[in-house]
Amino acid sequence: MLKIRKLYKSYTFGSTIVPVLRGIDLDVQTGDLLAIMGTSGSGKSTLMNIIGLLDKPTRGQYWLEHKEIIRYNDDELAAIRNQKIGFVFQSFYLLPRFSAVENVGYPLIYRGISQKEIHSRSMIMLEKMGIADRAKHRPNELSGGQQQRVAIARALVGKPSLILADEPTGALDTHVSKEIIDLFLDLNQQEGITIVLITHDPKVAKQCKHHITMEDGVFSCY
Amino acid sequence: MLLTYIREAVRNLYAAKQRTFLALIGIGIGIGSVIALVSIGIIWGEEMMRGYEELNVDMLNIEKSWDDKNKHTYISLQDSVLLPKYIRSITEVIPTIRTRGNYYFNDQNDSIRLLGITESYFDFNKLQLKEGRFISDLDYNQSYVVIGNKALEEPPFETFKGKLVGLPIKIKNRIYTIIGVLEKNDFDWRSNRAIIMPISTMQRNLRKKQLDVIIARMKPKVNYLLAIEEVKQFFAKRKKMIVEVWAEKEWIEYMEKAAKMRTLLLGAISSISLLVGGVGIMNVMLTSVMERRREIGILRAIGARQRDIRRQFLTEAIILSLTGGALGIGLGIFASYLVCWFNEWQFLISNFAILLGVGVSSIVGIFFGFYPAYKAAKLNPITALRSD
Ligand SMILES: Nc1ncnc2c1ncn2[C@@H]1O[C@H](COP(=O)(O)OP(=O)(O)OP(=O)(O)O)[C@@H](O)[C@H]1O
Ligand SMILES: [Mg+2]
Repeated sequence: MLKIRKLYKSYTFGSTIVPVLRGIDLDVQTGDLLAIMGTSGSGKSTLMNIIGLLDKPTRGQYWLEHKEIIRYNDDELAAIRNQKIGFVFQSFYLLPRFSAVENVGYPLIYRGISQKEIHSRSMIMLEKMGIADRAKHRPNELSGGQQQRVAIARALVGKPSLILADEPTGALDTHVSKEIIDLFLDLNQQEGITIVLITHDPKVAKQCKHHITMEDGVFSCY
Repeated sequence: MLLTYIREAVRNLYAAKQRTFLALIGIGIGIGSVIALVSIGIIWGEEMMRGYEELNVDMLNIEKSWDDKNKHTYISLQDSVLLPKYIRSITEVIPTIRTRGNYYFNDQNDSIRLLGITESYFDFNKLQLKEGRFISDLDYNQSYVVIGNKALEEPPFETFKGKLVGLPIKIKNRIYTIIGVLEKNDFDWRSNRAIIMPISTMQRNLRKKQLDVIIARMKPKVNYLLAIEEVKQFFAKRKKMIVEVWAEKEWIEYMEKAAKMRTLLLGAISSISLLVGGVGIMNVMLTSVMERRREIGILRAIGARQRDIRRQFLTEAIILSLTGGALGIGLGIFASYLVCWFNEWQFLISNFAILLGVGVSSIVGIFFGFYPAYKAAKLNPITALRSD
């Protein structure tokens, strides 16, 4: 699915260079469920953003589905994000002025699919997430758990091959967190979707097929 | 896709009601003032032209030029007779003598303009009679006069109202009979304060052979510049005389040009407020981009290309300025209506001004919306997502 070799990422503040990722090697197989753990500031989100094609590494190689990412321009990366990758973030990142069903369908707009088709596909996703009755609600009218379900529905609506979830339960209480994590486990087991998940909870990590820990920009134990 | 842009644009603009409203006022006033001033320019021009339309567009005035220093040459009656025969584009002439003289009437004595003319002068200048009749070409050498509307001092007109015809008047020690009184005339201001008599009578009684002006009528749609040249040639060849010829049309064309310039100037002045309105739009859009950085990041994450973001914000700016434009068209038409009402001009809604409003507002939207849209598109997705 994806292969990363000797990946470096550093930020420059004036004259000082702050290294964040310091030589990452990573392989994720199709159908894998990988949990990434690590202390705050160790570089998990940075890595995730690079995997998700939102950010570019300073140095190193990255293949996604056997294609080297460095060859693509900005527009092509956007298209890959749109078709192959689904994001789930800690703070949901829903569009505030759009209803749940509109939020879910938004990625499909960039594929030039008809409004009707978008709507029906989005409703199917919402039903799958068990919140079809909230389709017309705005994000601020939904609970955290419901918002995250909308976000997951949005990540899934385009039938991506890779889901990237950056602390998806970080803003939710334990009970709701468990439901969301179960959702991810289901998706992986029943539909075979590849998932990379960042979490601080060792119990969650243990439920995943693999888990690795990051420390200061490198993986400490595989 | 476009529908989505528009839908989102409307929502975003609606969500930021207060800001949108203020920007709308700004651009509305800007476009409104352009439309108002351009319309006023157009209406004003038409109004002035309406006055000139009734002039004789086919008229030429021929006078001896100041450049002709020869004291012995003058325009003669013979010239005026020959002119239409030699120059095909001239159909009709009115030989005219203008002079001054004292009159005595009802114990009053004053100096007055005296006009010696022929019968067609009446139609030519669209004169109208208050009483009696006008000079006829059959009044050859007759001591008949027609009195201009303001020729005599006030009392006689009051005292002799409706009874002037048939009364005697003494001009330069000769007695004449009043045969008609003219109505007030706006075009030929000369006839208002003048005593008018047959040119034959004037030449004989006042011993003035030379004509002051020949008024000539051209065939309709003749090139007046050519006609002027022909007339000049005619006098140059016949009597080595330099004449000054001017066409009424020249004046009208000059006025038209002046009206266009005035409209242009008004438009230029008003575009300053348009600029202010445009900057207002830019400001709103920039603020909007700043506030919606996270949304931009989200859109980028779910697959929006830079150009999708750019189009989104551009659509918003254009919708904003088109709405402002619609507001401005209403405002501008209303303002120009008020000005027309105030000046008692004939109001008209100029298509050009409306077209200008729509065109200008979309251009303003694109121009002032482009930079914010460009900025939004260039935002780094990560930075955008991380901001709040
Ligand atoms: N855009 C940026 N500019 C400068 N420094 C950055 C930027 N993004 C991240 N960093 C730095 O990189 C380091 C790693 O950040 P990152 O967000 O990847 O950590 P993380 O492991 O996800 O932490 P957390 O568990 O708190 O989310 C931090 O020290 C952070 O300050
Ligand atoms: Mg993080």
